[in-house]
Amino acid sequence: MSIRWCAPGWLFGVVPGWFALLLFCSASASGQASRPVVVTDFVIESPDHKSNFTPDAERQVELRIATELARLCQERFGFLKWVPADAAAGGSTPAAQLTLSLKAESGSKFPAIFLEYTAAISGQSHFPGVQKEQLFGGFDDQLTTDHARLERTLFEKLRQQLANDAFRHDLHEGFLQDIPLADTVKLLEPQVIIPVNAEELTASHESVLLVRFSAKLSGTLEKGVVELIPVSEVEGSLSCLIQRLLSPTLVVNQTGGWDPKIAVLLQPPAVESLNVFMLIYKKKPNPGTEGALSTRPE
Amino acid sequence: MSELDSKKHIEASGTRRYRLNLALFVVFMICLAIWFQRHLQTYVTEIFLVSGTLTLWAVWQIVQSWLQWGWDEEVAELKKRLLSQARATEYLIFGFVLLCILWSTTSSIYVAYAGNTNGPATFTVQVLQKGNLYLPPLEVASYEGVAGRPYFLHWRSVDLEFRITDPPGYEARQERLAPWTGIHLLVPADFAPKKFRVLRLVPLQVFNRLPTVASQSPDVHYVLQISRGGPCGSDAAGIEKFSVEDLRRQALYIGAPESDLKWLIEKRDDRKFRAEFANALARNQVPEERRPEWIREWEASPRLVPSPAFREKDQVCIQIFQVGMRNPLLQKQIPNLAFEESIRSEYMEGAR
Repeated sequence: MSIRWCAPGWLFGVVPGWFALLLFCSASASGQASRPVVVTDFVIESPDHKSNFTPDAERQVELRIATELARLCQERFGFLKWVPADAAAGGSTPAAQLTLSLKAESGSKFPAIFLEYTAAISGQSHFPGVQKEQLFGGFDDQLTTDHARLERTLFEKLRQQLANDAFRHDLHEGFLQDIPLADTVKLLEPQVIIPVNAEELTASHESVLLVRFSAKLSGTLEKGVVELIPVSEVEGSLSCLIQRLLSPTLVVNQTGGWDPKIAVLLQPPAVESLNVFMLIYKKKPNPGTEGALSTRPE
Repeated sequence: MSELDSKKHIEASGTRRYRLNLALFVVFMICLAIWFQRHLQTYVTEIFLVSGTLTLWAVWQIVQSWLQWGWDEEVAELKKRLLSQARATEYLIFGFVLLCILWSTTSSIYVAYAGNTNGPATFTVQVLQKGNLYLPPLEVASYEGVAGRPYFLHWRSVDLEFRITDPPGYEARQERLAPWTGIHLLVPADFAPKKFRVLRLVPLQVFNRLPTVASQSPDVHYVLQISRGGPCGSDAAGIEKFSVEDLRRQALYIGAPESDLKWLIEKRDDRKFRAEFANALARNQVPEERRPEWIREWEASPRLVPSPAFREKDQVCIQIFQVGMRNPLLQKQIPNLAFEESIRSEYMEGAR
């Protein structure tokens, strides 16, 4: 964990803000990171389905579904980089993984077929936020051998799920908002700079980012949270204002508020751990479109 | 010898010839009638009318000649003139020779309708020689009682198979058509009803494993293997094995020629069959509202498998394999194919 010390403190008092900003930018330009990668995968586990595929055909279908899942998630949750499993293979370690499984109900002669999500963050299993959903009843034609129709049905189901406000809400709240976007912040009073490419994050002003930190002050471990609102880009990174800060020794309740102690809490040597999460994500409108696409219903 | 004696002698001789010719005529007509009756049955009514009348007339004449009793002289003279001449004897003998040739070289095939009011109104019979049609299919009905034809100057014996093709359900008959014989069969009385041992297989347990009938080119194929003559898994000598490739989600009817299977399916009691199927589905917890749909799916296009033709007391093993796999997905052992119904259903519904 490291907090980059962007600009000496004495400058803030004497140098105009724009000049300090210029200095900051020149110092931090090389430290901007890409958004976290989430790998999507699709696995056929239902025995009746699995046994009716050749291994090659099975992998092809799995890849196409994983690709579609990545595409749909990218549309709705653009602050993360969604990559299907095969495309991610050999690349850098993903921040998280979302796996969709086609599963058969156990212990039934005519098992129902479910779509079940499993998730992992940094290799650790994580609740995906969404419950498994039945795709076929036990007495339905489960399209075990009609692979084209099965694929179409799965595509349709995924589109339905990702178009559903409640589903997206649950997925975000249960899983996506726990994926760390960054483990450092840069401070530029009153702004907090998240060293992630702002253009990739596509977070509108209505989004809220959350910083969870722990810092050791005078031998006492202090844990706190900071809510941030994106305001602009600074040399490609996302610049935010503090909306609220809660810690045992400091409370900031005013948007754009600041306290000198913030720099102590969020920077070395006091800070022990820090992670930035996307608490509420509202996509920045694309040029030519009106309003933001909400992925989290109010 | 006086003139009177000579005249009496001539008269007596004429009377003898007349009686001989008359007797020959009677025998000839009787033989002719029998020959016609045997080989030209289609026209039997007319022949009996003609030959029967003539025969009766001849017998009447013989009786008259003995009892010296008759109608008027002129008619009696005419008859005597015709039958008391030596030429008449010659003609009759020539007729007999012709009749003998006809008797020994004529054969015929006739089938006659003998159905009842509850049975089918029409029967179609095929006559086959070494698998080929010997004559066009014969059709008899309640309104067209006899079909067939005679064969004249037929010198060789022929082995024939008589088969009722419509309706099915009767055993074929083997007959030999000799030159002097006629084969006259009553339909269906002369044909034994077939005893069917048809198995209807519905592998319920692998409902969602098998491709649907409409599935174009499934990646994975399934095969049904039938072993007859031993238990499942045995490779002992004498066990016959049959395979049904590309198994689909459809009922299989196994054990009789395709035409018989179609006929058996058509004639079965549909209400009873559906009730039995619904019971099997109920045993497998298929919800009541889904049962008609399942019955439709399995029975929409049943697969007819003519071989093996099952026999009573056959020991049969039925196994379903995924192609390329060694172990069967599902199997059913039937130790003894002994059942009264024509089609026996096996639902292959064991626990998974």
